[in-house]
Amino acid sequence: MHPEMSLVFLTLFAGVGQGIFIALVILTGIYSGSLDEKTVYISLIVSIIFQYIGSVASLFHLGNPQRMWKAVRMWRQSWLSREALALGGFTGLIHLYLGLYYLGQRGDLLFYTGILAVIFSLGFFLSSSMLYAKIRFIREWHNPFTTVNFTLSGLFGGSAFIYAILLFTNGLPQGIDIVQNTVIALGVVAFILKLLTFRFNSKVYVSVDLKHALGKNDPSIRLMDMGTSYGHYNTKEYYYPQTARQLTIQKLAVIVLAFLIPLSIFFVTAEFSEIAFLKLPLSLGAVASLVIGYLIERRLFFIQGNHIQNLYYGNFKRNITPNPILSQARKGTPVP
Amino acid sequence: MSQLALVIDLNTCVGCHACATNCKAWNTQGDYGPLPDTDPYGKNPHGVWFNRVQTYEVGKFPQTETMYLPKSCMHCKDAPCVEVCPTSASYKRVEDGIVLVNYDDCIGCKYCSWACPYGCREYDELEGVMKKCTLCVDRIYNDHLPEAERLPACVLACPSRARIFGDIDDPNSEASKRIREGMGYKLLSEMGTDPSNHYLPKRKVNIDIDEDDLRAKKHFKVELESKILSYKEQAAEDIAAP
Repeated sequence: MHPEMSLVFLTLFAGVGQGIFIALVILTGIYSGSLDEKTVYISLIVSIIFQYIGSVASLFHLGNPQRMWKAVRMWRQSWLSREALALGGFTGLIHLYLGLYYLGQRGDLLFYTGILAVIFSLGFFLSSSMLYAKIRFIREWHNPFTTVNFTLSGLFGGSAFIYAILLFTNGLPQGIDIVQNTVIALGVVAFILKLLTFRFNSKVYVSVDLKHALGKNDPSIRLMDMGTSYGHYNTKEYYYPQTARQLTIQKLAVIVLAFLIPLSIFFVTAEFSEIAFLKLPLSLGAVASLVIGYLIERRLFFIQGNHIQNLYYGNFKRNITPNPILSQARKGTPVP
Repeated sequence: MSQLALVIDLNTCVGCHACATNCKAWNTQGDYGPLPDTDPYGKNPHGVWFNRVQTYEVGKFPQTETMYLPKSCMHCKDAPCVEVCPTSASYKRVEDGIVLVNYDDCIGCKYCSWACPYGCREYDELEGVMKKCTLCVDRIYNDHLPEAERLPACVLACPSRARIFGDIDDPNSEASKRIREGMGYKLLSEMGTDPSNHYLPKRKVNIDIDEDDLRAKKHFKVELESKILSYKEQAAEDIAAP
């Protein structure tokens, strides 16, 4: 599928922002009262800014964004409606949380508002991933990895941000080690699952072939003419071939930027207390690397989706990465 | 409860694209506004229309055949595009089963086109909405058209009469009859979308003549030959003296 950068920004920034809030609520629950105000304000502001970035980005992929409010109508059957509701509900509730905190509330009311917002956030992780996973015609999306990766990216990214914020404000001296260990654990789990996803995508087998698509029981069918001399929506939206080299570079970038660099920085700063003064700049670097790596990861998620309708235009086998014909063209070999 | 749909006879379709041209012509000048047609004579033409004809070669030489597939919205009974639309812009009419897009509600998120396994929905950049075959709903119920022309534009345009329009839930309709007798099938039936448009497969018509039949009908052959001779004489007279 053609990668929609506005959707990449929406799912990633909204997810990471919500992960920050979930980590904040959990820390408030465990260390009730010990969390200082600076930490809470910075976390809330960063999370809210990320929600705004995500929401504004999502308007760019719509043809008629002024009708965006209508998107919540079909919440009974469409995951996209549920995603819109979850995102809107969470954004409203996090503003409420900020308002209550500003007005001095520190007790049960604030906490239960936070819990409600966390429920909306989990609903957002579920619905934003299920709307991709529901499409049974894209095998690379229609599997449990989609939901798991979306959730883990939000939780890992969010907890990494909270860790960096805590280092900046020194807001929780007694709990910083637990946060560190949680970030590393989440990162390792997210890394393993992402590697498994890459493996699944490279081995994915779609049993539908052109003979099923046309109803012609013959092993050798080829497209001679697609009906137009030039490309159109059906050949542009669903088709984004990559060479083997492009694919490898992107996968390596994801592995290194989103997982290896942040995890090794967190691990090293945990183990070696001599460089404690470097913890903050290193953590900020780790977080920046994580965001860039995850942007590439989300874009790659879109690229790796191969839609069955490509069969009709002879693009299905070419869209499976890597595309051998493109690879040959790059090397200079004449393309058949 | 009827389900209007098209039955396309692949045996008769010659891939002339008359249905595609006519569909574009009607929908560009009809009720629902023009369809985009950017840079039509330039380097990067791009346009939207609803009925696309692909050409495939089936088999290995010398046992090859050319197959033309005109494909437009299947108006599925279990339409995945209706299920995923967040604004209820994509809906299936109860009275005749046509799947339509409400251009006032559509936000152009393209989710329905991802959900369609046939690739029948396209995005209109000019209006920012998703467009698809409407089964010429503005023709079939149009009182300003003569009765015989209240058919989809593609059905009227087909020179080889390969497209039949009718109610596939009514067993007595022409469309149902052709599906039953012509071994009509659905595309991607295992995907669970239950499309309403059917295709009649290509078939070779063979007449088996038995030797016993020939022996018995020898006198018939002689009679036929004398008739042909008389017709030829008649024709020669007509040409000589018109």
